[in-house]
Amino acid sequence: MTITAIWVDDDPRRKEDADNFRDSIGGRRVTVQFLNTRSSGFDAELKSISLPDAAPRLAFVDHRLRASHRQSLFSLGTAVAAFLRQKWGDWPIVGVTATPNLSSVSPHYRLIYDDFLSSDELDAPKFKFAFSLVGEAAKLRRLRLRSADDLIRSLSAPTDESSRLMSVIPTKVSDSLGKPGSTIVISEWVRNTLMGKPGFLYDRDWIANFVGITPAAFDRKERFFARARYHGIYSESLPPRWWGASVRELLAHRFENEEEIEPRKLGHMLPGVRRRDWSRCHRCQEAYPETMGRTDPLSRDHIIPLHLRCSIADPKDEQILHFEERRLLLPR
Amino acid sequence: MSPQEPQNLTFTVDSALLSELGEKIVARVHVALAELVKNSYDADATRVEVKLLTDDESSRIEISDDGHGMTFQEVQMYWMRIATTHKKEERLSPRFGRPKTGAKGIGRFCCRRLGTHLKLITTARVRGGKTQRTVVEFPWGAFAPGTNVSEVACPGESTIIGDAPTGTTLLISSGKSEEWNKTAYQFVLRQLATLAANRGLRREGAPEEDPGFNAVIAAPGYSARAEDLREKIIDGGWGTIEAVVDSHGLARYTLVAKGLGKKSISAKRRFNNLCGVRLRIGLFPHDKDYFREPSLFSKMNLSKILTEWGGVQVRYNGFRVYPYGDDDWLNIDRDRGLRKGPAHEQLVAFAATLRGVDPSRALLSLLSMKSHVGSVELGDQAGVFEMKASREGFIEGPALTELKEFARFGIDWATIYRDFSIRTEQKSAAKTARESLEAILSESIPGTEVTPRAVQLIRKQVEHALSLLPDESRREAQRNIVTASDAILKRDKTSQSELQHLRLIASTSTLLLVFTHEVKSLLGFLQTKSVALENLAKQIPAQHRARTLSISKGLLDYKERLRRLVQMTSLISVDGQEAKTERLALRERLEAAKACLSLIIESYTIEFDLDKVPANITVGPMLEAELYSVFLNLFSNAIKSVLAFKGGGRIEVEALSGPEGTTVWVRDSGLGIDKAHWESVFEPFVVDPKNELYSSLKRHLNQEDQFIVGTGSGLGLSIVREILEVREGSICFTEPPTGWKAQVEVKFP
Repeated sequence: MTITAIWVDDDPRRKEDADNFRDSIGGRRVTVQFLNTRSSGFDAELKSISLPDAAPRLAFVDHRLRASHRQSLFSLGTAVAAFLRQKWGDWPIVGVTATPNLSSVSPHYRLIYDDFLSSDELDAPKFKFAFSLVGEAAKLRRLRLRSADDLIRSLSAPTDESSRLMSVIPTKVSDSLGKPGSTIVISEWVRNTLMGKPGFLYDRDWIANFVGITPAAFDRKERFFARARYHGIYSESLPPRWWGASVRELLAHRFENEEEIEPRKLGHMLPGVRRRDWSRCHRCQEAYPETMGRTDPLSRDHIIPLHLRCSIADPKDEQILHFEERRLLLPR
Repeated sequence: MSPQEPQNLTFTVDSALLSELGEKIVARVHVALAELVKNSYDADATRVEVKLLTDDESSRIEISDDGHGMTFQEVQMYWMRIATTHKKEERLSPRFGRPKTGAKGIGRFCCRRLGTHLKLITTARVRGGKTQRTVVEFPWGAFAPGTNVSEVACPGESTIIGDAPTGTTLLISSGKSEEWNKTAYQFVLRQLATLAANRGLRREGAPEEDPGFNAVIAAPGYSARAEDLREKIIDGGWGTIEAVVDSHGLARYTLVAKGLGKKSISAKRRFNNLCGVRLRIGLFPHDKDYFREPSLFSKMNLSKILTEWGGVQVRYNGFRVYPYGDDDWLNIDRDRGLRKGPAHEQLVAFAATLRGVDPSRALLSLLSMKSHVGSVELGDQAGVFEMKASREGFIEGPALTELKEFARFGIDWATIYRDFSIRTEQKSAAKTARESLEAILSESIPGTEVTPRAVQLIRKQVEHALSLLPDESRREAQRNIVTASDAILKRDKTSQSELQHLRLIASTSTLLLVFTHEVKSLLGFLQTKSVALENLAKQIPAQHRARTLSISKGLLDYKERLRRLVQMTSLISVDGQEAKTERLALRERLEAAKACLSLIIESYTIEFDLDKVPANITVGPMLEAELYSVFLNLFSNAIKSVLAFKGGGRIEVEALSGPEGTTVWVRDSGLGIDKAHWESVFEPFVVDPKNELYSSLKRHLNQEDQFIVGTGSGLGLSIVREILEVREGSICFTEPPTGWKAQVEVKFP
């Protein structure tokens, strides 16, 4: 896929980031145009960009534009993004911000930008992620999701999970299906909720603990769980996820003669898994931690395995039906 | 004597009882007037108008409300029946469910207290959708001692008049004008303020929503114009913010406040969904001294007004929208809890223009939501505000987001001005006090000399007074005065020197913030250059590729180190996001604190061991910044100590947690510290008690590293101790185990 990208910024030095993006993706797959908002011709330049509707494209917009040309209509990043959104429809727009904490970006802006990148972390993986958003947008255009059933099909979900999934699709997502602007709503929910919160899909650390072993041991046994890997929309943009229900089924099938049914105990029976591979609770060091959590609410460290008895629910967690609750280490 | 036929005797009531009871129950005219308005409130009125007309000879009072009124029968059976229990039995008003405020059954005594003639005109709803108008005249003078209450006629009539507005009017004439004065008038205002603060409420179980209550008082003898009490309340506090959004979405705010006069600002951002929206909010700090109309509020009624009616309501086409005003919809209380700085860049820039205001701390003066009294009015011009299906508030959307920003902008702007005003007033009070002293001494006094000169004056004056005492007592008193004034003067001298030191430190913190901001932008460019090199490496001959990639990686490593340092400076400076007390994982914070010092640890090959700190220990609740401050100080002291000893060495941290709490030991193999100084080093401004540390560091450190350790502020350990004591912990030096030179023991509860 060849894409057209534009980079809108008030700092001409950022052109090097635009070039880095092109070079990180590969010059043949992308053409990049850098638009300096300080230039007097900026408005005309922005308005003149004309592409066929089906042409894949991506925009990087400096969210904190400061020094636009005095006559410009676009004195804010959001104004540029809103203009492009109107003109470009569902093709992705990425906000670039110096805000170190992206979670503090107003949710309102999350409906204008597809995602945010921190300006001091613009490296090759981040650029590849931004590029992959274009692929996902193209995929969604092809799929033309019109109903919740279409959406579930696009997730390639295990059959048994359909009804549970149906019950967690928010109204704002189901209402948007088949309408213009649905991509950003779907994308936000799939990436930040379905793939972002464990409950249906689990990341590597979570799924390893789910089957009672360390992430390193899980890496060794990953082939066994290959069929449980998530291959639905946005699977190529983000680190791998596994369907919890499929992992459970794989283990149940593999150990169908065992009385034990809990995945975290069956995982210990996999060939090559030794005692030292067992996942252990961060607090009591005993095996079979049922959940994962943080050491404290402000911790920036990775999440850690915990027993339910060794942890408490994070009071600030917004609990969602069928998703795992966020846990915190039980204070000593 | 033959016995008479048995008879039943009955009591009669002498009219003198009316005046007896009246004088005892309603001793003062202003109490009587306030009670009559309370009756209007209890009759579910939404508005009452009071006229108080006094001249040299008499007073005339008119009270007119739009309450439910009374039927002819009710006037006769309740109003004219003394000591009726009607009001006592029904604690809530029938229509709006208001808790009744008036005293029971004393309305007629109040009327009698206010004048010798009363005309009662009342209109109430009767069957068949009609209303009945009743007019009764009460010639109180006819109720003379010796007459029977039930025998004095009060002429009255009633008429059925179709569907007319209900309400009651009391016309009271021939009162005693000499009983009225400004104090009595202000008492009435204070009493009614509590009622007029009712700006609308929906009470559970009440048949109808209470639209609020207002009182308008015209008293030409005391105020030139009629006073709208609801408006007067809002304007009575420290300041009133008003704002309106024009048809282009531009919002203009004005603030009229005590000590500031009128100020205005326009928001740079546009509120395109809020055209025509208006806002009017009064700000009420707890201290009445800062009010523009302090006489309108007593401590009690202010607390009642703010508790019951405080909050910023939303009105849509005149109707109140719930729950706004009952909840923290503007996140004011949340932001107070988080100690957040202003969210708007425009306000940060504005705060920076006010002398003495620290932009990042100006919102620490933010008042609670309940201390903001007023509302935001939405009209037809405003954008799409869609009610939720439950009718509880609007559906979240751009219009509501704008509305919140519009209101918060005004509140935050006024708060910044309040912070400025507080500072200015404190300075101005100190200046006035100094000028008064200068007037007494007839000479000018520099700021630093105020305390010594004031003490000198006090001593002189007291000495003079003491000369009247007998010798023995005089000598003892003189000794005591000398001791006390010496203590004041010494304390003052210490404060002056500490202040000077703190000023220096404060100036460096500003520099640090500027530095941090600059470094943050540079971090992005370091990243950019590193990625550019990485991409370049793909295009150049293989023999140069490895070298180029290594340079790129090196740049990234330095960037990461810088990022960690910047993150730490942000954590320690004010940051609303992090400013909450929590139990915190100890090991993670110790590692982060150590990482900040990694450059010097690595350069001087210091062994720095955290292995004896279990990963599952949490401490607190405390602020993350506090925990970092504690250990950054202790680690930097330990590093200085080992460097001063011989330019290398070992540092070890151990932690143990038990039922009594957590103990952390920080040990080092450095210079050590004499037992004699174990306590004194925690005193502020004590630096290097043995005078050995910094001279030795100079000898052992490379010149370019000298600045890292500096000369010490002498505040580090005292700040650490203060932090820990506030969090109920402790810190002290203890005997180090064999092989170590110094050990600090930190206890967390």
